[in-house]
Amino acid sequence: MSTSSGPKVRWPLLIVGLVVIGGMMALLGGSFGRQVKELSTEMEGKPYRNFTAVDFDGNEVALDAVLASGKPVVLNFWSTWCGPCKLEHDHFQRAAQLNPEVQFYGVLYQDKVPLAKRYLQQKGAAYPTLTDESGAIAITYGVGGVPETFFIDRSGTIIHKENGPMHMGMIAPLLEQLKASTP
Amino acid sequence: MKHRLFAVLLGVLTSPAAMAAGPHGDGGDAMFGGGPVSTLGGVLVLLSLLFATVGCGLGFVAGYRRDPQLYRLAQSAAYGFSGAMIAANFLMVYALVSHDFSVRYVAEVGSRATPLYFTIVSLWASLNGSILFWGGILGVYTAGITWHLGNSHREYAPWVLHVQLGIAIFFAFLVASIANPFAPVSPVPLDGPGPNPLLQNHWLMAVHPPMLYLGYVGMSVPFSMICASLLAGRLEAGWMAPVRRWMLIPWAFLSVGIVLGGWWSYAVLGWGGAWAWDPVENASFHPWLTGTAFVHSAMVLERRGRLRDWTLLLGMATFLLTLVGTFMTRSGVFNSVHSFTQSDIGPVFLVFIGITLTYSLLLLTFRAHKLDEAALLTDQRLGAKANKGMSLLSRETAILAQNGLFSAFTFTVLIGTLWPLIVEAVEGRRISVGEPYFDKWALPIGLAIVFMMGAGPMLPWGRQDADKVMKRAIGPAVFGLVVVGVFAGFGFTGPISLLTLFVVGFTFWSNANEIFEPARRRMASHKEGAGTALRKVLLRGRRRFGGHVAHYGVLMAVFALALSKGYRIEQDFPVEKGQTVQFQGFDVRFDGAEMRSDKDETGREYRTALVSTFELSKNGSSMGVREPRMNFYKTQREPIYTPDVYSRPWGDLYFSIISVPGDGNSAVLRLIWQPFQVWMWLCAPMIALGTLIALWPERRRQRSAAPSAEVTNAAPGGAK
Amino acid sequence: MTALLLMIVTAFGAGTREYVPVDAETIERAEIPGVPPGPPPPASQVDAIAHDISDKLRCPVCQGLSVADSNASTAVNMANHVRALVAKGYTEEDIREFFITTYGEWIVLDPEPQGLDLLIWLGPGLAAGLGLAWAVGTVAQWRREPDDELPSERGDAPLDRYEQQLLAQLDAEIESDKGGH
Repeated sequence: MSTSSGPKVRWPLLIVGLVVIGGMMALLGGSFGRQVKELSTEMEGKPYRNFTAVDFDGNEVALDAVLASGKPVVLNFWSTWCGPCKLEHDHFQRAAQLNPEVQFYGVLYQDKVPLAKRYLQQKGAAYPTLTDESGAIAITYGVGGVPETFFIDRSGTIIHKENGPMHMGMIAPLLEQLKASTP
Repeated sequence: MKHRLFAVLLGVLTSPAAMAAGPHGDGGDAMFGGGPVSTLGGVLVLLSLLFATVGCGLGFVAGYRRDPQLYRLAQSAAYGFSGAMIAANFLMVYALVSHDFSVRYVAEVGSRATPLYFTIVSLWASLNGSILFWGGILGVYTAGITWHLGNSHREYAPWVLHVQLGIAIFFAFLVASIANPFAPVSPVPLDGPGPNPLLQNHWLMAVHPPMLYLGYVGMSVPFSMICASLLAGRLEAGWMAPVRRWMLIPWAFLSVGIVLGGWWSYAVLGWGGAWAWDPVENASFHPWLTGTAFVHSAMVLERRGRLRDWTLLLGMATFLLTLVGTFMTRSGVFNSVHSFTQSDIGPVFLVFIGITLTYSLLLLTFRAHKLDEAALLTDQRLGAKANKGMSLLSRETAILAQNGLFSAFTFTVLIGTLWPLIVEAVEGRRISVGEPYFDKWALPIGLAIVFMMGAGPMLPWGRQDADKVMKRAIGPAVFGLVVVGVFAGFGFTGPISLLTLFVVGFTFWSNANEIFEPARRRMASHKEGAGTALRKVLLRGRRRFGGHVAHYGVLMAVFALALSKGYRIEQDFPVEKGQTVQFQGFDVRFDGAEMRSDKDETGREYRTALVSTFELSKNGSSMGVREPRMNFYKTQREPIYTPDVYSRPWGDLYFSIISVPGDGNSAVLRLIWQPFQVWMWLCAPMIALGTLIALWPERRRQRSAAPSAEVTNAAPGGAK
Repeated sequence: MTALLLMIVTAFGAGTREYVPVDAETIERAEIPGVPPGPPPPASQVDAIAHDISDKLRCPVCQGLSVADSNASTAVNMANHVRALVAKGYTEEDIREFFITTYGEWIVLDPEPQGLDLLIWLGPGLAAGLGLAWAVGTVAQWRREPDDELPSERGDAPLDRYEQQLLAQLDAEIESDKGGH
């Protein structure tokens, strides 16, 4: 059992230890207030993706055709069980009424059509809402919750994606951008 | 001297008292001014802080001056801290059960609708209560170690109390100030929201957290003991033994807690898995890994006197990792199933972690040489008694390899968990590191570790001839092949699982050899019968035998993991009422879904459930009814999906509902077949049993510090 | 801010949880824009391949679970979508790439081995290798240290209690080791 006496101060241990501790403190300390939920803005700046869907009246809508006609598009994903969606509903209705040259669409997200219809009857529907039963449209647009809104300009670029509810003050400047865009 | 102490105390006390008065005039954060329970709770918590502070200081002076009287005072302070904290916990339970909504924590998590069982359990349901619970368990362990040390190990004991109560100061401070669950609430609400429904779903929630806490918090004791050693500047065999024991006790609880967590995840969460490498799960795993490594390297330290620094480092790291783990769970920095809401304790906790990490580092760096000097002296007196010479084919190598692998494993899991934070800090990207990553590495490292678990017992200490080792390896290797053959014959033919089965068989036989081989020799040399020889061997070598039993526990878990994951079969079935589907040889008939009301013992409904009924049969004979359900709680819109499991030793048939649209005449059912799943849960009692055997004190030896009653008393609830 | 929190809270796997079968029409409509599908795999393998891919995708509304494991509506929809894409003939790389460009890198549970992430890809293997090397190296060093550094005589002072204990322990173990080890 031979043990030799080590150095009086274990210098390598001290240096490595201090570096590790320092790094860890900085990492953990700097991570406070970090947003934990993933809110994607990946689709911003990317070209739109075509889909065909059916609105509540049974009409088929193809995004290609809408953009080909020269109109920019606002896609708003919403549900009746989502509080913030209800908060922003009036703002979007008003925005749609004031800006007829922009095509607004609602996309129903993980909700029941009869419930949505009843809600729109009560609260007004200035633009069609599309069904998305399989969730394929939501997935194609990278939607992870509601409300999420996409602003697609005439050239087909998604100029902005908003995670969360919007009010008129946020919507209006974006609409100006959409209207000013060229195919 | 006494005046100075008093002044310090006054200073320490007035700060939380000032916080207690609260910056708000409404008494929202104030400690006093509420109902009797609030006030009493506040007093108890302050008392615990007082005792901890006084005791910590006394411990230091008693150790420095070797003053027995001051030591006795420190002991009293330690008991005072424990008593106050434990009493505070009981008081909180009383407040919860009596629905005293004037107490803030009760207002946060209490509810008249919650059944009694879950009301008691809600002590640890939410952040502030769980910190109080942490403090309570710390009180239990502090009392335990104080009593166990008693009048012995005088060179170390005061230092142990000093460090232990230093930790206590922090937690008492947290409870007294920021995380105060006793703060009064006014106006007093009539009812509360109840604990998180996920926590009311299953009885396991009453057992899993306490087991984990008993594991986590208990790591403070070996930490204090190691620090005591460094502070005292000595470490003898006689001290290493209690340190080892006091590491084993929380280790066993931690093992059980982790397995119970896996079982809870499996039985409650509906995804059919037991471990998702969730950040908080990983946080509980790190200290387990280093703790296991410690237990093994301590053997080399005792035997050879080597790896001292490393062993002490492991021991301290185990506790430090529990602190980091507690932080990860509560800081809100990680996205996890266990996330508590973000609170103010995060930054304070981080400061405490920084302090403890630095303190440990400095102690080890600057005091370790003192231990070397003491050890050298001991060596000189004993002469070279242990085996001279070392071979690469020795148990030392196996243990070192095991330590190396465990360290790599800890490193992998820790860095993997922190990696998204690191990448975000360095490059601003958000990435995920999840199950596929961890599984990929856990498999080879885990396999290598299990192999070591088999190779180690087979190798002797020190020197051995290579061909003797080969001879000893034949049995295990053959048995491993037999196991492979048997399972391959039953259809388990995946190469990775066959490799795992080989290693499992190898380790199984090798450990069995270690139990039966000495018995056989004894039968020959002492002419005893098999039963007597075996009993004598086991009773004399409790530590070793307990270790082998614990190894078997781990083997069970590895076995279950390999087969249940490797051969898991899953399928989704849309079914109509009356329809039967076939899956893995079973016939499953859907008998409709209906709403049921669950009432507590007073007859009050606390949740409703949509229960889907399935009749299970095989070859015409019925095997009962399975009822996976969706539990609806008043405070939550989304139901909790609770599965139902048909469990047999050779496999589980897992029923989970995906959806039940509308009228209950149709459903979408997910069926999962997982072979040998139950063996994973059996790992927990096995490990607990092994630890109990290893810790069971030997009657004959004149042990200075371990009369038989102490161990069972110091392990509250027993290591079961 | 509150609204954002509200949105986050309500977004967690809520909804009707309608189960939509992956029928021929859904498969027909499924596509990755701008990427042509390859040859469709045999129908019996579609589920297995899709499950494999879903296992490595993260459910966006859950806390770390994979799409395959979670039974949240979003996860079920995503799993169905993956299945449709597989049935259509898209490869695993196509599908993975699609989700990364749509949601972000965090949607995959196993980071790509490039750039900074190469470190955790290689890290564990290096660590294990280092650990084993340390083990062997340490024992090799112990073998090299000559035993006769110790003085051959005992010191004069009597052994204290602990040392006696240690001596007894060592004696017992040497005794038991004699038989066959």
